[in-house]
Amino acid sequence: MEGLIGIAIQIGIAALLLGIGFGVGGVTERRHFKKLNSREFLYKGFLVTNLSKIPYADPRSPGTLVTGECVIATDYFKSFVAKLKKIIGGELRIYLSLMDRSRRESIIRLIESAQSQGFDAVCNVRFVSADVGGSTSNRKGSTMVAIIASGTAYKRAELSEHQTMVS
Amino acid sequence: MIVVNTELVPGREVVQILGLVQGNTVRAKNVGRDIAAGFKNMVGGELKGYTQLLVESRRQSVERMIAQANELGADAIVNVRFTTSAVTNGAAELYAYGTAVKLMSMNVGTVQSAPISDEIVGE
Repeated sequence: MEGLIGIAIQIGIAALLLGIGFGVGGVTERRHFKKLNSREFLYKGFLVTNLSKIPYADPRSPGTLVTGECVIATDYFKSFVAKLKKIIGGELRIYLSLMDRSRRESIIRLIESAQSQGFDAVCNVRFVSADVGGSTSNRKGSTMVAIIASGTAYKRAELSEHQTMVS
Repeated sequence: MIVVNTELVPGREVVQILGLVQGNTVRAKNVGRDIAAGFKNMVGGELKGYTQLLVESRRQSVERMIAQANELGADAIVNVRFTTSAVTNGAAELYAYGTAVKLMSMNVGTVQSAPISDEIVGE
């Protein structure tokens, strides 16, 4: 009898965590996406490329390195679904949104850093993912996505016929 | 020091290549951040403590790279790249590397001396 109660309590806690993960995690994610959309709209005119040749650069100002970092955690619901999916394999579509959020957030931070230093374009953008949670070296490590975006911020040359092509 | 991750610096010409410079740092997360991360893993969202850790590591490794370039007497570091590796559980290495070069200013209008400070501003 006591064993049954114990099992019931455990299932109850797991269900509660799943509920919290699904509810709070979902709300957090939707809110983050909404914020990302509005901030991306704000920086629509900002020229961001991953070209190594600096396009339309103003030769009077040397560029500088700018970076943007972001670490996004998973929630209990996502981890649970992923664990189930891992049994049969295939694409873990539930984790795609984490990667997306982390990348977009770090790009926006990169742009913000460039703009605060008075630059109006970023080129040669690179992404690196870091393993801060140690999830690759230890199976118990918590799931999170850590992204560092780096690029060269520079000033664009005064309006030319090229620029109309860009915007 | 001009630090860029392109092969060229706008308006400048590379006159001498001094070689590879690098900076790295291995940082461990602390227990407080660990517990906070554990909670965050239930509800999702950004792990601000870990983001801060990443910012600090990046700043540290870039500073070390710049110090090495200064020793060589470089004007700029070009083609900077970052890479990370997991050393042990809960500690990550951040490695920054680039090529230290000497620059000559080109005769384009009024060439300013580099207005970039050594401090790389984060956020």
